Amino acid sequence: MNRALWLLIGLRFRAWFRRLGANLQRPRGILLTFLVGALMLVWFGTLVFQAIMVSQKPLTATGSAWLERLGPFLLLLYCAWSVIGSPNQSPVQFTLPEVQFLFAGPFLRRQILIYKMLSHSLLTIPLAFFISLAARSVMGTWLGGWLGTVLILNFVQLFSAALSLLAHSLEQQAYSKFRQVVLWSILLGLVGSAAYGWWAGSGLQQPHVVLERWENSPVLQYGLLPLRSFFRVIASREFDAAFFGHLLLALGVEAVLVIVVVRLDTHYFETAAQAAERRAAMLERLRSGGLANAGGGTLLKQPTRRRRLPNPLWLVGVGPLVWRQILGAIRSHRVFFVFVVATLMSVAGPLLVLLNSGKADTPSTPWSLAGIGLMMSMMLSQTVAFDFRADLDRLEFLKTLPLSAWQIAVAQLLVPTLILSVYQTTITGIIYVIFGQIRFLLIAVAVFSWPLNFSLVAVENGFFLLYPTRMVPATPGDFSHAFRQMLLMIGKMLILSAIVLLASITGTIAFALSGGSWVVSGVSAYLPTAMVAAFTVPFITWAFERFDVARDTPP
Amino acid sequence: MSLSMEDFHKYYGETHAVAGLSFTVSPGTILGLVGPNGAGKTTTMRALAGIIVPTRGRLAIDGHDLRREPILAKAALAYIPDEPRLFDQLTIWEHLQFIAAAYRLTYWEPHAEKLLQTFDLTEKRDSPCSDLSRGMRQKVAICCGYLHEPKAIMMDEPLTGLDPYGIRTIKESIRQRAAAGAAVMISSHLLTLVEDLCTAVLILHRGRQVLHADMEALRRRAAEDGRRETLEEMFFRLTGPDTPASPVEAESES
Repeated sequence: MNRALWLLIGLRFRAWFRRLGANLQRPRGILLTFLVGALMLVWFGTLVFQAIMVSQKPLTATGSAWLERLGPFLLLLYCAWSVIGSPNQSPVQFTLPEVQFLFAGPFLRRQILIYKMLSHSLLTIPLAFFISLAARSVMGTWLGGWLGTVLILNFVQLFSAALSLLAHSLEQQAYSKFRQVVLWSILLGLVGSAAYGWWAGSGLQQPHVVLERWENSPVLQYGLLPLRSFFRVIASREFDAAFFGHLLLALGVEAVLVIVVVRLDTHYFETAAQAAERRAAMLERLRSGGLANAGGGTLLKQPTRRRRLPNPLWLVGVGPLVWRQILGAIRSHRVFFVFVVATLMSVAGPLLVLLNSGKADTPSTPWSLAGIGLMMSMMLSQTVAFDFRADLDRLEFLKTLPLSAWQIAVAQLLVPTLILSVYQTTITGIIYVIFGQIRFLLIAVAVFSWPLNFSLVAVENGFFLLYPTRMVPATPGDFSHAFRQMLLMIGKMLILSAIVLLASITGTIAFALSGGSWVVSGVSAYLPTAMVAAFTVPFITWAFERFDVARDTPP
Repeated sequence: MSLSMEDFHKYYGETHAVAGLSFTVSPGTILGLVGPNGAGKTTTMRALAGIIVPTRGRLAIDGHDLRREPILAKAALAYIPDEPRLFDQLTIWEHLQFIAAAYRLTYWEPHAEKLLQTFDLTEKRDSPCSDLSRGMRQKVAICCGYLHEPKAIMMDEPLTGLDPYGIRTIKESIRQRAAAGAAVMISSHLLTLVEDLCTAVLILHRGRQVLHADMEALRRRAAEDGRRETLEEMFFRLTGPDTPASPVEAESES
């Protein structure tokens, strides 16, 4: 590889550390770094501790066996998916500075490709480190697990690159035909091996027996052989000859892919430059406003017909801004897509598990499901960021509006509050309709979710205005972004607990004093909850006023 | 010839982004590449920078065929696109360090220092590029382009985001580079800039060349014909909505 490209890798690596150091220049940065560092230490320490403890136990073969069995299938599915979706992809994802400096610079295509793949491989080393610690229970040894994870991550990258380069070298039309041949071959192989499974099971066995025969059919076994070596490296419990055999086979597979990538040497610049531009535009939108701002033609296709709203009402000055945010929300069907997925995950998934295990009839089921649904809504707050977070690049505009800061603060917090409250009430309502046992909870959610969500959204926005950052990190491997989110989540949980505790105390006292009146108790619990929500307004107003667009807008 | 294109075509499916473009930019020439949006200016520049592959045609930089000798061709070229895309976390000096390594420059530091001084970037040399304004980023991109003393320079909208001092500095630097023997091509919608700075002009319209002429010759001919047509008037006449998308050979002077 060209010496300058090595230098670039080194400079970028150094820059990453420099950026960490730059955060320590200001008191706020020191505080945030300290909190994030403490959180990292706790998390990382727990992982290391668990890894050490787990290694002392005799590892059961079940997890490793499942990994060896399922892993290659999943990797094969990935490969098949790549064949289906690869023709218009860039072999490797480049950034726009790389396009500007490397594509037009005095470098060979191969050199640039190797540089990029090497950069990617270097990133997989720390990534695999964390994965191997977290998934220690299904790994034979930690080192083997780490090595295997590095190899798998690199295989995914290499396979995708090789396939895209092949598509480029065969030209689109020829590749489409080639792809059809591959797809038909895969399909015929699967049908053939399924038929073999049926025949070998005499066609009279139980479905799982046929599936096992199918799994053990020669076609599938040969197809999975090169992929299985990766998972055997992970699952190996000893560094014996078999382990090194699997390791060599896995390395051999990757070496073949590297040779394919380097030998093909097709002109990928144009596709890569276009892909880099598309990706940069999408990232820009994401960074300026999260999923809510991702825009059309990127993640999902935008609807062609635009939904409209009647003209905004004044509503003490908050109406126009709320109108604008609602319009953005209803036009961003991603939000509803994420909502549906979250609903399915939070309610339908556990429900199916409970039904399958025959435990769905227990009285705690609807409470558990509602609890999961409500927790999911806490996680959803990023996707419904129709507030200051989505307006990072428009804060200057907001400051120029002929509205007072408190009006802007309230207006900005209302739409996510509305979405989250409606979502939580709907989830609880659906569970109530199915199980009919949580009427009290339904009423409580319908009433209390509004001030609670307002407070939580205010916490998120306050944190954002004091420590502004883009919602999507600028560089991959930016762990501080993930830890920041964890820190925020902990903060929200603490605030939520404090409000619930306060409301419970006042509600219980009122219940006792009123001689068991639920209405008096409810109103008494509601008042402090609403007051906390109201008190967040001056805080957000202050944070918005002190936000200096010239100084605080992150790059 | 420092920059040359011969029968350049670029098709995207049925769309002809550029069709049959041929021109040369000799050392010392400053060519203004103008045309309405979608005329094919950026495609032309990107093809010359080796970023996109021509469907047909021969492209060369400093006599090196871009297809056969890409490294030698690119080593003679500086391409500064309309939007300066820098490595955000790298400092200005680190950008120059990388460029020096990429173009295998030796004893480049004094030249780099001088460039930073010329473009008023000395104080910011150790700042990450993410902290720079749009205009400063543009200047950094230009410094990176100039560091290896290119024989051919291509700039897409070079004055965007610059203050009057920056504009003057860059205009002067372009003139100096051309005087020193570089072939310069500037794509811009600012026709006054082209008229003021360029020694030749190439007008593209719907992917075709409608005019390629020496500025001095244009002025001379206008004077001879008794017309007082500015470049702007000529541009509108040649690229108006009723103008057919075919070359205006009669206007071609070179």
